[in-house]
Amino acid sequence: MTATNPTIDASPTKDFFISIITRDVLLDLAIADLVDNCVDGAIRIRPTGDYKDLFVKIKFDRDSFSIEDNCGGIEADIAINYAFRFGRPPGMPDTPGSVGQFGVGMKRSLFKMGNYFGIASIAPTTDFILNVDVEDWAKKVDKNGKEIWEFEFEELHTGVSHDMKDCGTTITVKRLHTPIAEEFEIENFKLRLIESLRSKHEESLAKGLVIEVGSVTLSHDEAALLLSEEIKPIHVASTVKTESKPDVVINTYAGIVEEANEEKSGWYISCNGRLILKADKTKVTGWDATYDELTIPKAHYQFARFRGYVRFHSDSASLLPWNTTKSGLDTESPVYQSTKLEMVAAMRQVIDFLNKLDAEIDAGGDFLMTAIKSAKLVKIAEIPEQPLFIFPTPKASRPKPKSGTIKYSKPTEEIELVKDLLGVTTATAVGEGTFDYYLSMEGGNRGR
Amino acid sequence: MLAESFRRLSQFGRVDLYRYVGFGSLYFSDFLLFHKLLGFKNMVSIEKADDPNVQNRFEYNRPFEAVTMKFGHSNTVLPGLPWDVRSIVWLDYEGGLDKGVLTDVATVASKVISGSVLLVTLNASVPKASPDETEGGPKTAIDALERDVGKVKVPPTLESRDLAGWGTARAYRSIIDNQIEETLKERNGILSPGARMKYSQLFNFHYSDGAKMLTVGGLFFDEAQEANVSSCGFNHLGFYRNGDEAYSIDPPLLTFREIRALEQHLPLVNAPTNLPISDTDMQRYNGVYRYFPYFAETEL
Repeated sequence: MTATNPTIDASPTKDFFISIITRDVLLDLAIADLVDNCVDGAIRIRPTGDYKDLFVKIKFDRDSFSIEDNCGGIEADIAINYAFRFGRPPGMPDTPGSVGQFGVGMKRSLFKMGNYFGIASIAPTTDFILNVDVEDWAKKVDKNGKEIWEFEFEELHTGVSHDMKDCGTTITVKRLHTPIAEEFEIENFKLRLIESLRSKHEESLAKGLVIEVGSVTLSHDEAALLLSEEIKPIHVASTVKTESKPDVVINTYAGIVEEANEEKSGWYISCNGRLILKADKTKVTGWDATYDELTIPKAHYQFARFRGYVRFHSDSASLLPWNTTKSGLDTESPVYQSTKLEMVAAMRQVIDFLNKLDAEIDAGGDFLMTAIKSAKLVKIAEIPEQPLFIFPTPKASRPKPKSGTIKYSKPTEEIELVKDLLGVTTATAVGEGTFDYYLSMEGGNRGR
Repeated sequence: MLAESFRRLSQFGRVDLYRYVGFGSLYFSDFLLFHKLLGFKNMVSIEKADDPNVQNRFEYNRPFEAVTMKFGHSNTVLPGLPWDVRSIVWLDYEGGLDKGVLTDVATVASKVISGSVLLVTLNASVPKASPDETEGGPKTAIDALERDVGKVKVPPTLESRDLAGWGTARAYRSIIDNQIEETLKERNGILSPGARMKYSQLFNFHYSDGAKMLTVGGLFFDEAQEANVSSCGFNHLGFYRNGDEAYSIDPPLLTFREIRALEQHLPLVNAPTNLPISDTDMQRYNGVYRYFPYFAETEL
């Protein structure tokens, strides 16, 4: 027997996964995470980005939750080696452009919701059923008292052949935790979830993916900016190259829409098609100092027409600036920091225009507003590259006014006297009467 | 109608000891009625008035010692009231549903004790698209509703045409109901079963008063007191409505002579055949006549 240095067991406990990391994710985000897995399936089987006929169906009530898709299923070897591992093992094959990357999303979501889950998957060459009683699993130890982490398949078939149209995954969660069951009964939770999925997966919805929550089929508002001969939004495309790693492609768009809606104005940032930040008007997107000035003329919704979009895309999801719950940006990431400079520059130009528009509205003009009204909303994917925000400037100065106002003051007594002389009753009539008198006496032919 | 319902709250405690909270305006008509009919001794009128001269006018018009004025916006006054007393809160707004109203609803739902009642009255006209185009305001009724209450509170299946007619009142009712449900869920999270607060809708009135009006409301009670609620017998009231279906207050137009003749046959068992009044009008009058004032107090 050789003496060894004493060691500390730093392996995580199951409890860490079951009750600790689940606190980091809100329920609607946990569900969005499960949808991410479906979207990754869609990306895998339809790399061209046409998701027609693919669906994700989510159902829940106080007893159970389920999510069903027809997005290709999970092959058994992926399930065995990666999908149910905690954390993402190195060497796991990447789905180019995927949205799942941390290897915690699915497990975290399932543990968060309930004590029992079942996964049934049909993939092109394998199919399996996996049922997990979380409480039983948590207690499993080997003969040395070490935790057993394996999940056991209920059924597993390999070397089979399934038609792609039959391939998909169904996940069911039962024995829901009480707070979750109660949340599922709340109508406002359902509305919040729908809104959240709709915005987070807008790009996938636009590619034809059908997402249903209960009986509601999600619609989407496709990102669009006003474009015309006179008004051209900013579109800057750039690529960050890192040695031996895939590129990160960044498209930044900034412009205006006609509808002044404070709830919708701000920056929208997505990574591989998944919206991370929505209608942001905070320091994170560079509004800091500027934003304070913005709040002052709020009555005119001055900046409520601003819309900015940043779309990050990379074949390696780990290079993108998102956090593990995909609910926010990793603002320290160099990729994001350099993009933020671009965003601030773009925003300044659009804000300059909106200030001019606001001044015009105050002055009762309609030159810029007419330009806005004649521009058309164009989907951002169709907006040509354009480094500057283009907007029209009023051409000639205004035509000289045809009449003017004369104003002066005189002692009341004298005004009263002139009133009597002219036979009028108001000071205005005194002014006009004396002016006309002078003009007719001294104006010669030019007089009226 | 409301007074008759409030009497039934005696299962929870003496009705005259309830506190009444409302927006009395200068006329305090609800305060007058409820004080006289139900004997409330603790009444609070909330009025958004900052100017001391205007405040004096409200104080001057305060009809009873029992009425206390609280000046300020209901969003800030309501959270500041003591809530350890059973209350009837009638928030009679002039306008439609907006985030401010939902804030008040959430405040009341998070604070009231068992046996309390909340009523909300709103103008349920279709939310207006922006009258001034240069402001870039909402273009459709749904956009306007989303602006008023927040996009996330509006069911995604709702369309502008669903808001026509009484549709806005129906949408308002369900948004208010969802708000109460959500607030109670948050409130109940830390409570043990039995101590949890529940809400049961009692009223859903539609009526026209120049504009389409909605009055919706109900009772808050501890789970443990569910039996009290059924012994109140609210469901025996003809105008009791606990869901989306509304009770329309829609009195028929009848002359005094017709009313006097008809009332001899009320409550209606066999409709008289000798009167020149249609069956529907007779039924409509039969539903509401008990709540009609018999005589008016007049200063000549």
